Amino acid sequence: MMPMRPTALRGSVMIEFTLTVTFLVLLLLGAWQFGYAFFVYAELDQAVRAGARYASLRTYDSGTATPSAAFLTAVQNEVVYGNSAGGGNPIVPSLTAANVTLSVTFTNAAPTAVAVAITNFPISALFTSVTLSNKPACQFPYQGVFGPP
Amino acid sequence: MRLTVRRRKDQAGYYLVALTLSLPFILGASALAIDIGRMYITKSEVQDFVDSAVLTAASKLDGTAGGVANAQAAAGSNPKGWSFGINAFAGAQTSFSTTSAGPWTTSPPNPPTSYNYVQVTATVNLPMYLMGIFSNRNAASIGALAVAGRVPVTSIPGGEFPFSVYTRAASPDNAGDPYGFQVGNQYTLRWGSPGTSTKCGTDATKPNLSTSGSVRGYCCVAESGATLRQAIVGALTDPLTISQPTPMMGAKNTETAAIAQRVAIDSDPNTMPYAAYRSAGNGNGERVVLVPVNGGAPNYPLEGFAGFFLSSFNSYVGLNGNDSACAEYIGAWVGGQPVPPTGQTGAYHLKLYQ
Repeated sequence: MMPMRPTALRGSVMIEFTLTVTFLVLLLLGAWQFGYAFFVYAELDQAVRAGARYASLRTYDSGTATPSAAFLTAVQNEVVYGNSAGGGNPIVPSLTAANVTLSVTFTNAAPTAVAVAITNFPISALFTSVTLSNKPACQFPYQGVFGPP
Repeated sequence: MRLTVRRRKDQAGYYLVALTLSLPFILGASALAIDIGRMYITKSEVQDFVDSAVLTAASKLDGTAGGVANAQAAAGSNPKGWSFGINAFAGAQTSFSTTSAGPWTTSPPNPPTSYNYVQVTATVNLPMYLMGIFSNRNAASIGALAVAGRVPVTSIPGGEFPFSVYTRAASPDNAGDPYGFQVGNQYTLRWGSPGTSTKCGTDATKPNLSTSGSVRGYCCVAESGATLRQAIVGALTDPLTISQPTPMMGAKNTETAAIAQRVAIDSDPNTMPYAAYRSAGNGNGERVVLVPVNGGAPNYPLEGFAGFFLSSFNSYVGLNGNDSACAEYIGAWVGGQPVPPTGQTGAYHLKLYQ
């Protein structure tokens, strides 16, 4: 068997190195992408829980299942910024009030449950983007004061 | 030269060998990132479920076996799912207690008197897609627990009905009640002219605790007609704390009729008394109001809170400044429970304990 020439050896090592590094980088970036997406989803899940709990205790000042603008804004701020007044940084990048939906269940003409969900929010990572539609979501029974105008 | 060639020969395949040897560790680390991420999300989802389910269940408890059954059904039908909201929770356990610390039972006695606390536990088995390759565990058991129940109200941030009744502890209809009231009896929300007259139940025959003709029962809100009407209908009232003076205010001649507007918001504006209203099940609870109870002149100290039931719509239509306005005492008021049971006293919120 003929010994391999030094130049061929150099090329072989280069190819191995390239393949190995490419594989490792793809693997690590894939793991990072999943990890980041999961992190964002978990943050959103906790945010909608806090938002739904806040909505369940705030005085409901609308006579219908459509909440007042002030009520809706306060709940959206609670989800996006972690406080009902708004301001500061969103809990996850690019999350806006428009991504937060609030559904109020009316029974016998009074609120009995509130549900908060994230919708049309893309989790953008390196390779692809996943758009969340109506998830995560959380519902609580309404416990606040019903005070229609 | 020979040495150099040999070294390069030795290097051939080094990266592949190194990659092969380290691959289990690299894949294991990736598996940890992905599977632990899913576990973290699932834990949050399970906690969402039990928190929501336990509060819904607690709002159904009313001291009857039917309330316990409703609580169990409500906890089991919560819409929250796991695995990114796809899978429904199954096998959640609902148990009950007379205290927030337990002991817990899934079958309370009948009637379940004082069983005002609920515990919901849920567990899911999350499949481990990658970690299972490197260990014997193909699934992770992830559980959560939540407890909810009543907590007495000692101060409120607002939301009370803007009338304060006088305690009848000194001349009680029922000596076992902290305020001397009898469930089912009518008491005075608003006093008629000249300020100490009333047609409400036994109040008319008992010593009056008001020494002022101008204090008619209105409280807890700025003294203007528009503000008062808004407070009656929409419960926009001021904070109150037990043992502090109740902020009573002067007479308003025209706002009593706003009580009729409040009654009209209820989906059952006419059924009386409260037992019949509750039994009919058509009301949304707008006629059930949280009323501050005060100790009388001169400082009107806030003795506590009580639940009252507003009379029918027609009872308040046409009332003028000379008329008294009455409401039925129902015992306890429970926030988050629009139509609470009778037989208990005080005011409570439903609290998520853990």
